[in-house]
Amino acid sequence: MVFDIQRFSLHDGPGIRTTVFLKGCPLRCLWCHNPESFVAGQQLAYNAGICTGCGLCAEVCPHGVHSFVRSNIGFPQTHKVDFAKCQQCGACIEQCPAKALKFFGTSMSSNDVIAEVLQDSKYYASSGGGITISGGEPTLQFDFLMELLGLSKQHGLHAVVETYGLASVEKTKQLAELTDLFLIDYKVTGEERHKELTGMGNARLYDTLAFLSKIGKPVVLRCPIIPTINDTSEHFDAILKLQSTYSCIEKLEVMPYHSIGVSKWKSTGQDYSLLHLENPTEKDKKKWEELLHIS
Amino acid sequence: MNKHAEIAELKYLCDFTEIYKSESDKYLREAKCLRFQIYKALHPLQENDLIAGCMGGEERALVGFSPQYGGIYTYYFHQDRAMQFFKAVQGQLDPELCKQIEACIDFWKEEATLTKLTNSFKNKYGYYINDNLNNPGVVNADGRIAGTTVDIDKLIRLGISGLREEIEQYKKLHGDSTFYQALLLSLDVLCESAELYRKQALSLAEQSAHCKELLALADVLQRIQVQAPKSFYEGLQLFWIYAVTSDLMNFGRLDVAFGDLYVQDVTAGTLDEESAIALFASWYKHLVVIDKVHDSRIIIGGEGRRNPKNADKVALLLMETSRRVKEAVPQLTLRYYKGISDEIYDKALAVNGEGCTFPIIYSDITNIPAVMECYDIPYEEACRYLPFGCGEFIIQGLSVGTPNNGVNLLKALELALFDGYDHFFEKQVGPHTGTAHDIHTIDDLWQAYRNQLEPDIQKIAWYKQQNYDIAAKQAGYLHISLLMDGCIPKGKALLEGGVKYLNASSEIMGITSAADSFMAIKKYVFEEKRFTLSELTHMLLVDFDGYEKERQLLLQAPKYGNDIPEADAVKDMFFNHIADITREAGKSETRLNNYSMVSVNNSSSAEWGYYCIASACGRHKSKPMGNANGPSLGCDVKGMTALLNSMSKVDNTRHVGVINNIRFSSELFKNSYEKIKALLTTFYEHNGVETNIDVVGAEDLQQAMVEPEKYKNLMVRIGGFSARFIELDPVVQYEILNRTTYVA
Repeated sequence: MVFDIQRFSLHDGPGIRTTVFLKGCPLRCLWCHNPESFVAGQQLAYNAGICTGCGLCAEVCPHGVHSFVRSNIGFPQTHKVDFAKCQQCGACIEQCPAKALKFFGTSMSSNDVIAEVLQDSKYYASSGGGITISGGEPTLQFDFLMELLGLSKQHGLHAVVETYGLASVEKTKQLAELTDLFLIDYKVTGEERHKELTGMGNARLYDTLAFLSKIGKPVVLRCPIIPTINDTSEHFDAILKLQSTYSCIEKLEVMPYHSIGVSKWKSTGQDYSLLHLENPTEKDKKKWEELLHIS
Repeated sequence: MNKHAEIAELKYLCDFTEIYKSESDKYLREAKCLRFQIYKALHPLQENDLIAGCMGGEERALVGFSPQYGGIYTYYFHQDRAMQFFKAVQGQLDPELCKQIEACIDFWKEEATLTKLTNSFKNKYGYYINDNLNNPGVVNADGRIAGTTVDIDKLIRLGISGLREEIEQYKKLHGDSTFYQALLLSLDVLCESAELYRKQALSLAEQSAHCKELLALADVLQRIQVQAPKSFYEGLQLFWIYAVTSDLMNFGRLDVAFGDLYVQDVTAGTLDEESAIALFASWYKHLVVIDKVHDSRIIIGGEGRRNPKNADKVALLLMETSRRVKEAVPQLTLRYYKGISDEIYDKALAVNGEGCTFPIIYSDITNIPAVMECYDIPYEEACRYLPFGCGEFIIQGLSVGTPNNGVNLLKALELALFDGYDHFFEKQVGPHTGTAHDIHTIDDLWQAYRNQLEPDIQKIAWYKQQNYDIAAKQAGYLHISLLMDGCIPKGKALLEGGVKYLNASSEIMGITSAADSFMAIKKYVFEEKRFTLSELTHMLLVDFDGYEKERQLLLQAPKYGNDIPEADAVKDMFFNHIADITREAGKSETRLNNYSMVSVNNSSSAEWGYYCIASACGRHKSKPMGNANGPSLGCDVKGMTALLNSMSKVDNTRHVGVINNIRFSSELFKNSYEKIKALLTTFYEHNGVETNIDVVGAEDLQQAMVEPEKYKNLMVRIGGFSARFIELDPVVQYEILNRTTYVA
């Protein structure tokens, strides 16, 4: 299950890349900008901003997902979506004239995915790019991920996997055989705090990094910095310590918080708890990069 | 205009007419007219000019000679304005003068070259061809001799004196002729222009703070009359005196022409980089006044230059001048080639990155082999290919490549759906090919489209030949003939066997919009049967009012520009068909060496879209059509690589110019420079013809519409030309705004 294929991707590894986003994630990071990746299966999304309140979706939905509440005269009806009832039949999406409804997630074969990725081969060759497989957490669809990586290697593509590093060492070993570079997210310092903010601990990450260091597989450690949440000196120190401990970490990257995902939380019927946060400035980013000695 | 000025204009009309009538030989007559009109056409020298020569920028004289001016070409005549002036001042003129003016107006009504041309069409087909796009139907045409980029390098190497010697030499060989005499006179006209400005420079110098500069200029103007240029300054001034006197609109490979003189001066210590840039900037100032935003092309770089190292030095200077001046002209154009220096290429991208829209970059790797095949010419000649105007190819010094007509494919599809009836103008204009009820398959629709289009393509091809034949009867195009290979040695004027290749092009609009519409009809009407063709045509007639759901569906059909094989193949079908029928019409209706299509669309794709009803691609009535080789507005959603892949699928042996508009945000261009460079390089090396690069954010464009005063320097690339965004027509602004900006 793929939720996006982004061509001309410039920030997920070296060169010009195509990033394939696989659906499903065990984490629930409060700041996630891809919340449509949480659920493993296909899911309905509703964009209230462009809904005209015409009511056609309610007429065709066999499961009572859509309901409308008449509001004051002169105002459009209020559209309520009961996401839990949705069986992904797609009838409402077909009817919606405003394109306010859509699915996140498409079932694709690994061959279809690679065929699309290969359309940009010449750009990868000239820029040192290739394929990046991200998520969600791509290792959740381990077999599919392995298929994609296998095909990528067959076609000589430079392959990057973006992961939280929480797969078993055995799986990581298999991945590493087909992966040129790992982008590993390091989110929060401290097991308990990690659980609190992402829903899971990250103890296994250290095994992953130790293993990748042992086999000499390069890693870019990507660090989402969320103001007031993890922009602490303790966290920055921990990042630097990781870098000095694990030789596989070739580079650190700061990923400043961005509110771009807020609308996707809403559209998939999920509550977003960090509405009060503002996007950091360029200056903030620079400051964090200095703290991490990133030039 | 005050009465005094109007009377002066009318007297000028009489004087010009007298000169014209006084000589029956067309070559000598042209030389005399050229000589006469410089005193009227050339603007006076300004105190701070470093380069002399300016014209245009306001309405021209009522009558005159110019190869392509305003699409009313050669011996042009502003009849409406002449009548208006005459009416306004008639009462104050003595009866004898009135009679004389009336006689002149009557004379030019018939004698103006364009009148002869339009009458020829009327005589053959029984009606006048549309002269603009605000008319019903599929095609329009005007009159011009364009695409005449001459060999400026030869002018600089030989100078006026060398050209005189060459003419004298061939005169001895072939015997004297009025053509040779007229060519010599046309050189005298250049000298006379230089002399005119020399005197002005001396006179201004008497009381000017710029005395030293003006005296130096006077000196240069004196020397170029008698000898080949010996310095960069003399070379630039000679070129410009020639260009401004002959109304030359596109300038060709100036890096080659000026490279040796520049390096020679710098080596000798008589010139430095800043002084050379100052000279170029002074010249650019004239281009801004002349305001030929669809023309004014300078070419730098590319294969086949005789002095690549020296030429590159001038290429850098020109790019730096364009970066500093940041105007819509000149249209600086770089030819990318295998082996281009990093210094040149990086500079070109850096100047684009500053939002200059220049240099436009063309790929020799794609274009030279394609030009060889399309024109059937050898490599050495193909190396002289260059885009002029909005992007039509010509072979410098070897060909004329006039475009003088336009074709709207979306309108042809509209007529095919409505039995030849133009619903915007509410007029039957095409043949009766059947209504939606008569069209049962997608093949029926294709046939109806062809039936609407093909007869018009034949007519405008025939008219293209007339455009040349009628012009050739009236003039020798002396100044152009001077610098086109073959004219002097053969003793033949440009259009009478002088130029080696007499070519022409036809400008095609609405290819993508027609193709995307056809694709949507194929999918939803004939394959999935979501609605009938009659239902669809009804939706188009009511501009989708009440059919938003259906419009959204149509918008979701596969669209060109997303690297979707099915959609791109339909666009290629439309492209290849119009390319092939244009060439076939060129063979059956003309004697031209090559008549091919271009898809370069200045702003016409937006403006002509205004006169089209809604279309099946999901476009509303009067909204812009996709520009040139670009996608339907905002329909490219798969990323820049997908767009470029679609753009590079075009068969480059079938056309003589396409353009590709792409827009990056400033941040993306700056922060991912190496990746953008790799992206563009890959495109140029894999069948990409060229790129028009805009580096600007959509937010800036939106804000510029709200607060234009704050965005006076915001340059955008429209299609075949650049402009200040705030000065554009709102229809065109809308189109620019709704193009996709690629961000990080």
